[in-house]
Amino acid sequence: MHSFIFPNSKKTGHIVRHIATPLICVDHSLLRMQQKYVAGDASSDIFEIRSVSKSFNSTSILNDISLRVPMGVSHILLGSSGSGKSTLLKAALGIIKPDAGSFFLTGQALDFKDRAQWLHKLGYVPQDGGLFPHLTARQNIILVATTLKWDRDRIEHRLGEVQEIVALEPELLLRYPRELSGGQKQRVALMRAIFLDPNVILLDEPLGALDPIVRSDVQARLKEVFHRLKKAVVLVTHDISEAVFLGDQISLLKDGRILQSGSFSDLLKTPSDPYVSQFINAQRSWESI
Amino acid sequence: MKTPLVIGLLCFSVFLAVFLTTKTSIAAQQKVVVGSKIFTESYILGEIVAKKLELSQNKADNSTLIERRLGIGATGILFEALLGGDISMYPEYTGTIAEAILKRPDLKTFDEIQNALKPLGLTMSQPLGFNNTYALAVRTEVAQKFKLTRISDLAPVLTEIRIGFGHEFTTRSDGSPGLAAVYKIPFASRTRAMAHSLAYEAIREGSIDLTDVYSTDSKIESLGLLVLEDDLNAFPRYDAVILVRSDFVTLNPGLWSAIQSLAGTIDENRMRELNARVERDRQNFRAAADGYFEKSSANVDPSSQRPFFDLQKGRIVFRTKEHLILVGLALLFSLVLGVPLGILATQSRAFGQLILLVSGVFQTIPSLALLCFLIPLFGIGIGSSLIALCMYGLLPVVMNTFVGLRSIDRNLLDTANALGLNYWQSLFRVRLPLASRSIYSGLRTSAITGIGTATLAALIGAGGYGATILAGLAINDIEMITLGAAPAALMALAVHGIFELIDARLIPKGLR
Repeated sequence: MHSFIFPNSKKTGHIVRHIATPLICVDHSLLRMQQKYVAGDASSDIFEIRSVSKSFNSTSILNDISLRVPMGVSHILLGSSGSGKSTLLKAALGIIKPDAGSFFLTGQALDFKDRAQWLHKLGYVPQDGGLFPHLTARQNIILVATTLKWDRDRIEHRLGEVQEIVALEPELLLRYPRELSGGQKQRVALMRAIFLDPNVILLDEPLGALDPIVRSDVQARLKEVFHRLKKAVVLVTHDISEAVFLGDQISLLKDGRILQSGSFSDLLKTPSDPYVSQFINAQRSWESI
Repeated sequence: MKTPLVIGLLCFSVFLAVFLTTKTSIAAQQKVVVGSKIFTESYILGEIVAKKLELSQNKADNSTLIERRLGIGATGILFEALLGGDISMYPEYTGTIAEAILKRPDLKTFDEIQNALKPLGLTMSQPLGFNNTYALAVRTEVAQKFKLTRISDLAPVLTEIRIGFGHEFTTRSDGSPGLAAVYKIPFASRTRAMAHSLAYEAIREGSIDLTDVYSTDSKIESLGLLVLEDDLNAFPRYDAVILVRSDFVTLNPGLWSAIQSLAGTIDENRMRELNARVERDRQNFRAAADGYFEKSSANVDPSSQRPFFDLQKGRIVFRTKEHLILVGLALLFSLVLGVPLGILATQSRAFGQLILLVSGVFQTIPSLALLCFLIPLFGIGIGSSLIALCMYGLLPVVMNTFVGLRSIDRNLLDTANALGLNYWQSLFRVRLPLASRSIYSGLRTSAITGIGTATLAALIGAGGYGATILAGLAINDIEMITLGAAPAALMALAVHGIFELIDARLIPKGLR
């Protein structure tokens, strides 16, 4: 059960009143319509998830998930833990093979037999950065480029570019991950993710482990980078304020299903399911907006 | 995911093939190899035989190479080496041939035994002239205290005396089991089994009262022991002979007649005197053997009186080299084979269990038994020793590679996967570096235990510090044993230190 006390208004001690609001029943077709609407502006430069389902031991983890993320749009997958949002990212990366459905990038489907090509178009920032501890920041960033036999000049040139984008101090590049702060690690991980200039950036709770001040700082930086790079961004989080701050579109997941997709105000004003209101109100009072 | 499996199996079969072809048979070469067991008398007889062959060859102006491989091991190992063609001959005793080799205690006469050897492609020379039978010896004080003169006298005082028998004696049917049956004395319940040469040390310092001896042992006299009379004739005859491959006899009739000319030339007194030259006068085996060829045994050439100890001391550097080569090669093979096997073990659960089980079972095989199994396949010497050392060295490397790879953070593996690294890139750039610390400590364990295990290689003639230790055991010289054991311990310390130093360079900095 979520807390009913608003974290940001503890002194007033407001109690959420959504329990009292009448339940709205939403059927599946309505949900699909909504998704279609979200992905409405049909452009070929698009990252698309089509009807992806996955079960483990007959428990459904992902249930018929569809999503369209055009270039330049940041789409937030919002949900509590166990809602399937990280699993969806892993499926998009080919780490987990879905039982049904597939992923498309500018019209091309993910081929599980030859994932390398696909993955080079996807940048990935894992939870806590996922930097390899035996490599320096620099070695982490250029790892994939070296396996692709990029020449030295090309690597140096690109390194300069991504360093400028992420605004990382050059001296940090020679440090090992354990010598970097949490915020620095995240920036290095982002540099690694965008090094090959992918079309899509996937981020799995990238800021979860950071303290609030660093977190808001990195959030600001991420927003700037997203804005500048104009990539399709899919970011997983359970933090609504982060979702609102970084996302153009938000999908709320529960039990492997997308309950609602839309802008934050859609979710707030026309919730498709009582859980949508419950989830939003559990974290913060939005009445003031 | 099939490629690494195939490549791993390929590596394994190449490795096996290389070793299988290293076995060389002396039959193909123009040389005669004289072996011996690992005790004074056998060494001396081996030297006598070798010298006799060399002398007769000079006369015949024949250029067959005479090679000495003395002190190879116990009966089982010598016999396997003889059958396999690693050696051409070695000194043996009729009783041992009947009881321990042919397992036919019913064969009593020389001709019966000779006939039984024929189907094996073996033959034996005429007896050399002495009967080195087993005997039981007690400390004189104990003999006086309990009035012991015959073996039968032991029955009433069995609980009062402390018994230490050699391992071979406690298990051979003509040893204490046979003795117990004939005399109806339950020795087994009161016996501590130990290395034969250490039993002398034990009886000298008084920690045991009774032991088994050979009737030609020089120590009977020097330790002041009393030999108990075998009043019920339990022990069979142990006439010394030279056990030879039949093909040697047909190929080298001249050399064979030289060996036959040794018949009847060494009586028990002569043999005991030759043994005393080594154990009392500390001559080396070759110098002692020279005593056989001298007209008067009292006249000893001063130049040949270099103590055996000094000889061994002078060989320390050589032994160190041998030992390092053994340990180094075994470690190299353990690395080359163990790391791929450890990687394979992470591929599938069933295969992993199988690999870990097999390399675990290797560890449990007693080293001496393992050496015996390997001799028929790979011969005596460095081949079998390396295989055995590898088998022992494998588990730490396989296990630590497996554990190191298995304990890598799942998220890092997913990340490597998500970055688009293929299997080999992920293995070499991420997984192995992350497991390097664990693999490295497995190698260290393998190297250090290998130094200890390698001393056993001398049991089958592969040299190393073990050769010095065994020589010391053979002539009951604690100082000489230390001469082999101490450098082995120092080497273990040095290797430990070297690994510490390399550690700082080899393990990725980010993991330290």
